[in-house]
Amino acid sequence: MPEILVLLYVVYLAGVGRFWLRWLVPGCDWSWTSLSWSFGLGTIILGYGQFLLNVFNLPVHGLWLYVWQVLFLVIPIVLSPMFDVSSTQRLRISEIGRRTIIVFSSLLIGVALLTAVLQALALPMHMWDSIVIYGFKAKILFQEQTFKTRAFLDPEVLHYSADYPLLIPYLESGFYRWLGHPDDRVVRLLFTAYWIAWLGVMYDALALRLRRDKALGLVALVATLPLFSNIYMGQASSGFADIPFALYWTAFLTCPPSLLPLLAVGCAFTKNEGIPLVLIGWVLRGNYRLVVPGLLLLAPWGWARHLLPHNAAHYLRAPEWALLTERLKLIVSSLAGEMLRLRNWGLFWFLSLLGLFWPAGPLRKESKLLLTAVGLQLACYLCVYLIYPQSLELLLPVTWPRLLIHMVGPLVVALGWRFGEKAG
Amino acid sequence: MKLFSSRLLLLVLWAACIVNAFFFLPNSWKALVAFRAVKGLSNPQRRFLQKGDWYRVILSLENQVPQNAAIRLVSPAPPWYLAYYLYPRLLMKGSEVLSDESVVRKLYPGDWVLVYSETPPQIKILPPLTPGHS
Repeated sequence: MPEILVLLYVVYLAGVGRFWLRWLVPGCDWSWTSLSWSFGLGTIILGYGQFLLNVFNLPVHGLWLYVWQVLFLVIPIVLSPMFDVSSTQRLRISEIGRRTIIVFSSLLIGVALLTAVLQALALPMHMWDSIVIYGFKAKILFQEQTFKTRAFLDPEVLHYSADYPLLIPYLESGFYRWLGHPDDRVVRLLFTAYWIAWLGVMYDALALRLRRDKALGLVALVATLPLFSNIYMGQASSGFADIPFALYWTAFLTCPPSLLPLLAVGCAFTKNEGIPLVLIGWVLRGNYRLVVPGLLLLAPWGWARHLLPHNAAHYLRAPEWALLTERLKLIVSSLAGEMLRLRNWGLFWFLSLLGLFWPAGPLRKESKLLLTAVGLQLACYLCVYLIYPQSLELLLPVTWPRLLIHMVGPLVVALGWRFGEKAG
Repeated sequence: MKLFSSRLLLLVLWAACIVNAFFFLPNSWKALVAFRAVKGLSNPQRRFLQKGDWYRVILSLENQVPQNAAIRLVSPAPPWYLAYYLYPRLLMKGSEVLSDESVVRKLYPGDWVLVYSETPPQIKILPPLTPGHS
């Protein structure tokens, strides 16, 4: 049963991440939300680990694969007594709040999860990014067990965006290895796991300053956003990298400092926009002593990316000043249209904007950091659209919903904290 | 000073969840119906349901071209999904001009050549000129 195998794969990823989480954040508890963090870390460790083995031409076939995977588990156990990285303990608000709210919110999240699972299991992946970008790479990595192959390196081969980050393809190919063949239907459950982990990380961050019923209510609001369940386009199991990226980005902005280097890898190795956003996030968060480990970790990907035939150069062009105002109008009107699209977002953006400008007293430092990050993120996306060399009419409606998903996590946490009871 | 009471926050959350439910619950129902409708089908059968005839084209190409072969594409607008479904056969750049078919075959005698066009509708797969290759 491939469905059972993918569940075991998710448990395995969370288990590997658990070892690393125990080392990097010794104070963390065994709550279900810490499993979300574990899953996030496990995906980075195993995905990037496989990539590093390929970079250094280490064998990954047969028994070697198991040797490396055992090593990934042993490393944190061995390093743990040598380097006590952090003793950060995240204390949550213990007050639970109204049980009816908790039951109702849990029910909504349960229905949303069931919907995502049913959608994932009904049909194989079928949208552009999920098969042309990530699925194709996953098939190659499964077949060849490395990115150093003709399918990646030969510019004569029709391979769209060969230089895209490889975390998702590595994880998909890891599952295909368990299964013995590619299955682009069941692998969608991996993305559902990402979605649940993202909600878990969001809840964990909210519960630091918010009563639990409200935190869960906010998570239920996000989980039931119609965008995640729209038929055939349901983002919760689409096979796109946007939910995985949203998980890493939300985690990067709200995590204990000791997790920053690994989560920076998660962001930059999942989507190209991860690189500028990690820079922004790091500048805002400080913790500069961890920049060097982060850079060292990311250096192999920086090097490998130059081996791959890339199309990123198309984005780097001078803006046409005469068309700039016209473009900006189009981009902003399209953004406003998307935010007000009830069948994607319900009242989410209306309420978020209302929450931002509501006179609820001064913002806490942490909320300011998150909102500044979201603002700069939006500015980054606007700049990329402005210098995009081709027509925007077709691109904007299909990309805005996905880019806005990246901002949901930090925004919800910032607003939740803003209206939380506990002083910062 | 607390300008936003706990009760009001919960009320706003409820209202927003109800608006979500208006769109979300029909999606859930459709997901259940779709899941039950395709239960027990194999993945290729599910792809027929998804996209229809184009997948038959893929299968017929898969049946003709051996695995790990290189296929040169002669097509003004190649469909984006071809490379994914044909893998491990590698789809290679050939020409965007349909009349270049014989030129491409001569240039790459060891490769298969796929001629594909939607207007006029045309699909043709030609074996390598040099036997023993691919």
